[in-house]
Amino acid sequence: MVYTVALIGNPNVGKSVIFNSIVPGARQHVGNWPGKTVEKKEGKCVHKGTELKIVDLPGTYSLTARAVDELVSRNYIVEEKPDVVVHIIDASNIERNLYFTFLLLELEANVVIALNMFDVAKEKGYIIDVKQLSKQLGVPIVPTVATANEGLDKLKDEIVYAAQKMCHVTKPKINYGQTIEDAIDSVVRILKKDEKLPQKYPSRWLAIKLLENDNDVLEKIKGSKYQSELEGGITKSTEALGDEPEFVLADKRYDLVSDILATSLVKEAKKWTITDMLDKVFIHKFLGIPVFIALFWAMFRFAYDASAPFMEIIGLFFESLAKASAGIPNEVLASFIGDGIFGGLGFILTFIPPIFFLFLGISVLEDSGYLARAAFIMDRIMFKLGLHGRSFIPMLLGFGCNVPAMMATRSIEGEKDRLITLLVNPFISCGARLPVYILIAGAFFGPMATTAVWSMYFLGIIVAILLALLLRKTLLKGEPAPFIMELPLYKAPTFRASVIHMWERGVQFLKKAGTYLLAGAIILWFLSTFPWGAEVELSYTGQIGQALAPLFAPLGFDWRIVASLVFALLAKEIAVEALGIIYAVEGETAIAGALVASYNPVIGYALMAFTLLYIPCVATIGTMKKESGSWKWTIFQVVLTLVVAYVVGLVITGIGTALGYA
Amino acid sequence: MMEIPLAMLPVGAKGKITRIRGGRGLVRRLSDMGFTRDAEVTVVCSHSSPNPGHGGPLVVEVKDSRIAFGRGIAVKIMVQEVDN
Amino acid sequence: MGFNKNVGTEIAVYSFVIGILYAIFGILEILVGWGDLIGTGVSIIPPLELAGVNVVPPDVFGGIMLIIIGAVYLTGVKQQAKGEREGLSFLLVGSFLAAIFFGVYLVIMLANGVGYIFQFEDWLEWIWLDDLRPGIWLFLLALPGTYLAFTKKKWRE
Repeated sequence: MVYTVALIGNPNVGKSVIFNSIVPGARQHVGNWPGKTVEKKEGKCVHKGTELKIVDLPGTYSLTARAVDELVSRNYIVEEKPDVVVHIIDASNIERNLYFTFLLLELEANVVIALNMFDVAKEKGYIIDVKQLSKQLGVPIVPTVATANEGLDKLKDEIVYAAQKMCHVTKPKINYGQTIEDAIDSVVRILKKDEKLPQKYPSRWLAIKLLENDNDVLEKIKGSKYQSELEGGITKSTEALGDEPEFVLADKRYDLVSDILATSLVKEAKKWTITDMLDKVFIHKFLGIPVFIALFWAMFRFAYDASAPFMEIIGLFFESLAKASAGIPNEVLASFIGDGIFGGLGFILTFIPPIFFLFLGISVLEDSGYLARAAFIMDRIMFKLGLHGRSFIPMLLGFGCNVPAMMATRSIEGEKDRLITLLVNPFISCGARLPVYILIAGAFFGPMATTAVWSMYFLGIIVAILLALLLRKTLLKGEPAPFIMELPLYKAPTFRASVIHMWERGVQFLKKAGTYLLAGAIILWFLSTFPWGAEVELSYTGQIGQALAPLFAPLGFDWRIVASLVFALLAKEIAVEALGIIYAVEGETAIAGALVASYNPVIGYALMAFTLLYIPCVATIGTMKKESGSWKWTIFQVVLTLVVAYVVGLVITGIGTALGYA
Repeated sequence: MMEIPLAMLPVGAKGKITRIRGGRGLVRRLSDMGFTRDAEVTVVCSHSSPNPGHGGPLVVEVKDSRIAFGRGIAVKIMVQEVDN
Repeated sequence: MGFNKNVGTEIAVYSFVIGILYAIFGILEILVGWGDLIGTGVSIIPPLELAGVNVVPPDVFGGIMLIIIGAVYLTGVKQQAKGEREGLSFLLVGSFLAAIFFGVYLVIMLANGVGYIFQFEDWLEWIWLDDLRPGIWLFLLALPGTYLAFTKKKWRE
């Protein structure tokens, strides 16, 4: 017999740590809730002979109908009726967390509480009488310290026990006081007349939601014969309560929480915690931003410099594979494997170290709790730019790879804010574009090459900001959604947790590499090698390039550049490879030489900028469609980026020629 | 005692929430995070100033968690200052 | 609430010294690295060498970061001198930043070492002493004092 267990709780309570501790990685499965962009994580585990299916529900502060992730959680509990719902509570933050427990009890879920971060609560000077608390709520409570693996076995024991005795125990009901209970009862009486509703949903919960004017539940009663009677009952009860029922109920829940905690929680005098000390500086009025800059600069330095020799290692590995395959008897096959696969793909894979190191850095900052402060600091600036403070993290991730960056926009609440962030994200220079810059800058700019490469990063940021402002003023008018963010306590990130987070994001890039880049490398190889034996100009690649070249004449791009740009659509890294094939040379030095011979520095710089800004790679386009859910905006993005790239290219060409560099 | 917007409380001050001047969405959101009537909030860090039109975000402690929000919201939360 | 005022003064002086040191070397790194930034190869002051080894690397941005660390240390001085507990926050964060930069530069040095061992093209002329930059030894210099400040019982309230 398999029991279904749902994990639920506020954000930052350690839910994912518990999930990862209970379910071994190999048995985890990540997907999406059907029809939604909310991520669904589930897995199986076996505890003392019992098999458990664990479903990780999204971390939310409430269960209203207002947010997709809240609805998903709520519907799951009410409709799928899991055997046990484990409510993970942050013990150091127990007051607010217990509010959520009441919501779960209203849903008549079979609740087991994991009182997590128990160590932090102790440090804060909290003394919690777990037995008393459990008695008052009527649910089993297990103190845990998930990061130290404490209490998890007992938790699993309680889960199994709760699942087994579920049918035999009446669910605890919390009394909300005479006035409210009367209001609820009168609605429940009407509900019970309906045949279907009380079978499908807990009547008490329905009544409460109806009183709260919950959109989703109001939809649910639409078909009922008693709809108008219900609506009448609701109005009457609302009047009886005197104030907006939603607030009356919320206040009551908090009152009950206080009452319960009065007998089970003792707070010692407030200690001056490390978090207080750190925040004094990290969100300091004047030092906050410089410290932020220093931390991120350190992270980028780490990501790019420490990974350099490893990139070299990977590169040489694939080069030797490519050389070895030259020995394959069949010429076409040799070329396919050598140039197409090892050559093309290998080059791309050399960028794994910096991207992973970057994600590691971000994960460490995130797990320590600093990233929330960074978002807070950035919010002030981002607000003026028409963006939301939460857009900061996706933008940051964009420096690694746009694919996980765009997926990270899910935490942004306002639709418009999210859309703007998605639209401008590709302007942030991702790791893939770096090889192109390095090649071109190295070829044309000698000692200033590094500065030229840096300028691309800044250019990307500036364009993203300008475009965000523009979009905010025109197509996506409105104020950004209010920024409210919880700042978790600082904690030392564990190596294991950070590596897991790094891996989760890095894997997106790898998937992209495994699919699009591989396909791209093969297609590129095919189009440039065939017709077999022909000169490059006459290959399919050449033909495409020559057809489109006239459009790019004002920028000084000839057919060779255009052809490589077309291929870079598959993945921007491919541009280098493409140029190599088109010039029929191998190795970066040779390609650089060919470039310098054919073009002037202005064109070089314009090309760098164009690569930065134009149409995102196929993987990104695919992600855009998935995250925005609309072809309209995806196509808009494609067109927008192309137009912006072209315009900026023209500006650069104009300025450069005027300054005499042409 | 007078009601003042949370934005006007200096760092270290405590206030008791009297009401929230905003649309339902905001009120509900804040209430989910712990900002309910009579809840006590302590200002941890404020880049705001009493002058209207000036200032930036705030960080407060409410019900044991630290919440950060922009000034736009801070002016909508009305509190009564409480002595330490 | 705070700590002994005499102790406070000691900590303040210490923070001041470390802060100034970081700031000075930060400025030096900027001056030496200026040429690279604007592409002329000519810096405001020539590279500083000690027995043929680069003591201050040319690094404008790195220099700015050192100045920032120095600023954090210096900001705490006033409150530390007054014996206010909050002043310790600056010492704490300053030390964190110093440690983080130390760590990053050390890792980079090790990574470069890997490149050297493999005899890769870009690393043929590398010597480890070149990577031994202020970001690394300033932290080592600051370490003992910081450790004492936070652990010695008599220094805490």
